Amino acid sequence: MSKTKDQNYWRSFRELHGSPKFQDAVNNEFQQGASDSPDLEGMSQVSRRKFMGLMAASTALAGTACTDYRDEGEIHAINNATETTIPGKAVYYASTIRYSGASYPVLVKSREGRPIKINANKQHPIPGVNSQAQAFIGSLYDPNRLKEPVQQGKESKWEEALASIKAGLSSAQSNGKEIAIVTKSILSATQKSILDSLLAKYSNAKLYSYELFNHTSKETAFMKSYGTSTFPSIAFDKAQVVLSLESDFLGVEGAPVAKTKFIAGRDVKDSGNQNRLYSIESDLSITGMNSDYRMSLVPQGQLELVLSLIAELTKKGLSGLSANTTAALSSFDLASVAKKYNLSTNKLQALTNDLVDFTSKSIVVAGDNLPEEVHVAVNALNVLLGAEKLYTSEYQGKALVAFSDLTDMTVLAKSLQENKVGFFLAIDANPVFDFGAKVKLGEAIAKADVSVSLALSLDETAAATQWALPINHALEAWGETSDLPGVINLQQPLIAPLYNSRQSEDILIALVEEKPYADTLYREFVKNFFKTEVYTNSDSLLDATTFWHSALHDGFVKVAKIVEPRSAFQETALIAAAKTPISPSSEYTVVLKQSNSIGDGTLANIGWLQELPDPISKVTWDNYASMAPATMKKLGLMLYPNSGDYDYDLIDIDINGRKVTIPAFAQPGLAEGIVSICLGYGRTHGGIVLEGVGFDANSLLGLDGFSPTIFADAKVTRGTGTYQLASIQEHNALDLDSMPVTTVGAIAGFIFAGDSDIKPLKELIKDAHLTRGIVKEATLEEYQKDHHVIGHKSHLPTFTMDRPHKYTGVKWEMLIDQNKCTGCGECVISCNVENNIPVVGKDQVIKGREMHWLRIDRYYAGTPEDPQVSTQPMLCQQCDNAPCENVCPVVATTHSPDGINEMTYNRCVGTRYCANNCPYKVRRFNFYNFRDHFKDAHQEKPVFALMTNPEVTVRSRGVMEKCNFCVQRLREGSAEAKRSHKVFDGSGVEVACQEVCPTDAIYFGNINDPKSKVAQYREHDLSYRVLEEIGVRPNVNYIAKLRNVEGKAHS
Amino acid sequence: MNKHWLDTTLKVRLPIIILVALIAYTLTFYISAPERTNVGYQPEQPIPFSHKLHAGEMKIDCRYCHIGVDKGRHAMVPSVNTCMNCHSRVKTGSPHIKKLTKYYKSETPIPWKRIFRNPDYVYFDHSVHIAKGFDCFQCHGDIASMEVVKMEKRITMGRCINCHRGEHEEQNGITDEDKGPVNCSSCHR
Repeated sequence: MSKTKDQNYWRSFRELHGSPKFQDAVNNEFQQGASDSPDLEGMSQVSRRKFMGLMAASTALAGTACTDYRDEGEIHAINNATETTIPGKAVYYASTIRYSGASYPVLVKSREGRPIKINANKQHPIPGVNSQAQAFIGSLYDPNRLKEPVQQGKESKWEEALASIKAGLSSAQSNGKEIAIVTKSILSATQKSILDSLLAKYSNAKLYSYELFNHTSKETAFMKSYGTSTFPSIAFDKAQVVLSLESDFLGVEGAPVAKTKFIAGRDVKDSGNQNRLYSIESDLSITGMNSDYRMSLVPQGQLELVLSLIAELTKKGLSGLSANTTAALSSFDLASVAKKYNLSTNKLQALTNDLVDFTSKSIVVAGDNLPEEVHVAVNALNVLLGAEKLYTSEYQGKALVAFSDLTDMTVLAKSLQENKVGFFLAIDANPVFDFGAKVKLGEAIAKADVSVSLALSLDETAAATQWALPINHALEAWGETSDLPGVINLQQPLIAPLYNSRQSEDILIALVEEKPYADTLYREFVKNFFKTEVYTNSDSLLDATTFWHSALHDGFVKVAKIVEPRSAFQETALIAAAKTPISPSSEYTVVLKQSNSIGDGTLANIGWLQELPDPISKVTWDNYASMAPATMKKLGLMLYPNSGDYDYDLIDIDINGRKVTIPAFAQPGLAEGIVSICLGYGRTHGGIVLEGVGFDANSLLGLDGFSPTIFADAKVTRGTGTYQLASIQEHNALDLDSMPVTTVGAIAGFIFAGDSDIKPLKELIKDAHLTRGIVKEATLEEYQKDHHVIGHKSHLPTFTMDRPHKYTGVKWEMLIDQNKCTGCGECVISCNVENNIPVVGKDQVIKGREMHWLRIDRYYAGTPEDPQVSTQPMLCQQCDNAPCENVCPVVATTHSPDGINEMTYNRCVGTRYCANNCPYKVRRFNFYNFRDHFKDAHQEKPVFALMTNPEVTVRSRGVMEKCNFCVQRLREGSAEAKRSHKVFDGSGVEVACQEVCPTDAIYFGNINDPKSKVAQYREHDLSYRVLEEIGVRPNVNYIAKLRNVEGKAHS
Repeated sequence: MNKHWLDTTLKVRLPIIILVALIAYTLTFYISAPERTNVGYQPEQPIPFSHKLHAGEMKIDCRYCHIGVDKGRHAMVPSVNTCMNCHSRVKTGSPHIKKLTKYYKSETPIPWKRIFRNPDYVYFDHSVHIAKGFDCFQCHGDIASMEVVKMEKRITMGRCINCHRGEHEEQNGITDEDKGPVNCSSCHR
């Protein structure tokens, strides 16, 4: 049987250390406090007789009162409809979402004029969305949006605001004062040209365009190495060996297309060609989680490591750098670096061997947060490896205006303080929060003569400025982006502005061209841009109007790629970089990073994102300081909460006077001394959801760092008190202990089926907890030796008393490839949006009441210092012999002829028997009407109703719910087939989690259709079903993960 | 033999109680029938549109106005511009058409009284039924003969299921293999 079964998986320190608390959590379906016994004292004192009497009387009253017909209300049909206005039919529009310095080409689903879901535009040459881009649906219907122009906290009129802006601009110009314009990254050529003409008109104007997380150090490094700051995107699909240094290209740093390309090299059908990922990083990132070999190293050691790798590889015979250069690096030695930073020599050996073996098929990627000299050294290493062949002719997306950094902002704050700024304008930017409280930009803005913020919500910056003016949301606005290579994307409004907001570009055009304001100014500008700049340069055979309409339809037009030529690698840059003094390791190094869940913090008011568990730590609703267990011990902190279930020790961090108090979270895999914190939390203005969530780590930003986001020499001390972190890593744990009844049932099944591979009964019970095989994996080597390394369970017979039901028509099955799943959680967001899943809030998450239908279980294996991570999306397995169905007293959960375990909400009375009987713990119970319960009925605000998917019931309190394979989409697929008089074969239907997966890890389809991918992969040797031995016949298949490592896994 | 107190209870009181309960149930059942099924509901419409005239005598196809019926879930009450296709010229002098024109010109929708309504948790799709060859009157009654539309037949889950099981005269020649689904998620999700 399987060699991997003795693998000991754990998901938290509490489990690893065998805390009895964890066993309790496993054994109890519902968390303590999740379901309370009724309070007998507090119950009504009415006697039963009286109660019956009251019931009878009210029934009689109701019976006789209801003698009239129900008024069914009115139907208000649209007055003047177009031919295509069909209520109940979704319409899709291509558009573009701009988020955190990149544009995402999207396809927006609209029902009855309301955008309800954002998906990737798959016809685009560079497709892909991420969790945050999907959550733009939430920010459109955010009840906390700015609705009216606001002057000093009082509602005002647009006319007054515009007059004030105009006067402010001209008086600043005539008084010789600065006009400061702050924006996020500028990705649009039209936006840039409008701002350029504004800058030309007002010579005192200065543009500050910023992005908290950017590629600046990489760009400077490319400038030094190749004479151009444009760096190419990497052909990950052609790479055999990838070394990631502090880079999270599979996570927050990467473009979706990079993930798709990299993961395509992990298809089990092409297992001979599996790529190998090495990751050397200080923090545990998604990339690290998915690497084959991972080492932890403080960021200060990266330069030395890269230089010594160059020296080592030169020694091994790789050429590409001149002798002079290699001589300059001769002092670097890999063995001593390994010793200094305690790196595994075995892994380094494997790395260097691979890099030599796979020259021109291996590449090194460095993280955005590393300083430029590391990037220069990495460029040199790539030259040595011949990795320049993997540089595509396309650049990775880039902003059109160079970024301003913290230094520029500090200067701006100073000139504001000195009253040298006459006019301050922030356009959809929040510099007051982003650059941290230490810059004191908020106080400084008050000194400007006129200050204006064009903002979506009353955020920190809008609260500091005199004027806060509402702008159109991305789904209400026109736009254009030119940041991606070879395409110009179009953004079009899908809905008229919900509030009294205006498009920022319209306002600017009116100012620049001194025209009266109109909401068509920018649209005409973009149209004109397309006509004069794009159409004339294209070889399109269409006329200009049709060209524009087809561009709008597609959401993009292809244009000629402008490739900036790269010079040959400048070796002097490497020699200069090698002379950089190696920063000594400090006791504590603070690494600030982008959150996997809420991104850079601009979307912090979207509950979906706040409640999305971090893919690694599984903490929701907060940021925290991740530290290695050893670091925790040194500080005298507890690894896991002892007293309360969720109380974590607080620590004080002090970087040269910039302080924050934050809870400490023990994270396996971190380098010792590293304190890793997500930015974007701890906001104070901008909505009700973000209030009191997390800690303001942006205040730790400073100019004294090892890099803009890494700070050595931090003082970390144990703080006083504890803080509750809603970590769900132990929620819904599948039983690790024996499960006596079902196991015995399964044994009976084995015996009756005559399986020869069965161990004696006693032994089987003894090892039950080890043989569960919830997660299965093997090394590539093991698999190549024995294709059945994970066992023959795909052919497991099931004993049943009656004949199993035959599914003759369409039978739905899902298949999740664990080689391709990175654990990012984008599917969870998609599921939430599609299925109207409410946000429950931190207090409810702590009680184990999170409503996610789809969760991603994360298991660690190995040691806390060197963990190997497995991710497993877990959702309703739609079992053929579903245990939940048998126990429902009201037949609210039943089986459909196409194999779906249906949940009928209007039948459900909420006994929760089904959840109790579910081996996978995937059923979710509405303990409250969470829409009403969360943050003063935040989700009951009328505007929220516009966001709901009308095809899915909005569940109320007291019903059970769970994944139903997006049954609304399946039924629509079959209805479409019926409408066109075709036989429905199950093709052409995509479920919500599948359609957004950036790595195509989820297949879904009709198992009875041999052409479907599900059917093709299902019989693969690595395909298995979780807990199959209990005989429930699940319909979600998993492909076991192959680790491309030498020898045995988890050595 | 002594009379036991149970004798009166069983012989007199119990039958009376059962009788009262039965009468109460039956009365309530019939009195509340309109409230439950709405059969017979015939509200006055803002404009007395006659289906008898349009669909019956003039034989205008239902789909001329109810354009969504073969395309999607909703049959759709027509938009005002559909009426105006004819009534911008036909019978413009009538006070009702004047009212209609006023609605059209002022771009306000007509507040038609709704008659047929499924509960929120029912996801009914008109188009698949039309695609299978059903006629409107099979569920809605003989609308083409109604001056004012009335709920003639009850539309309840029992009636849906009867037809879907193929046990009903309304099955319209649909074969056994092709009959409607009866699983929950076909309508409830």
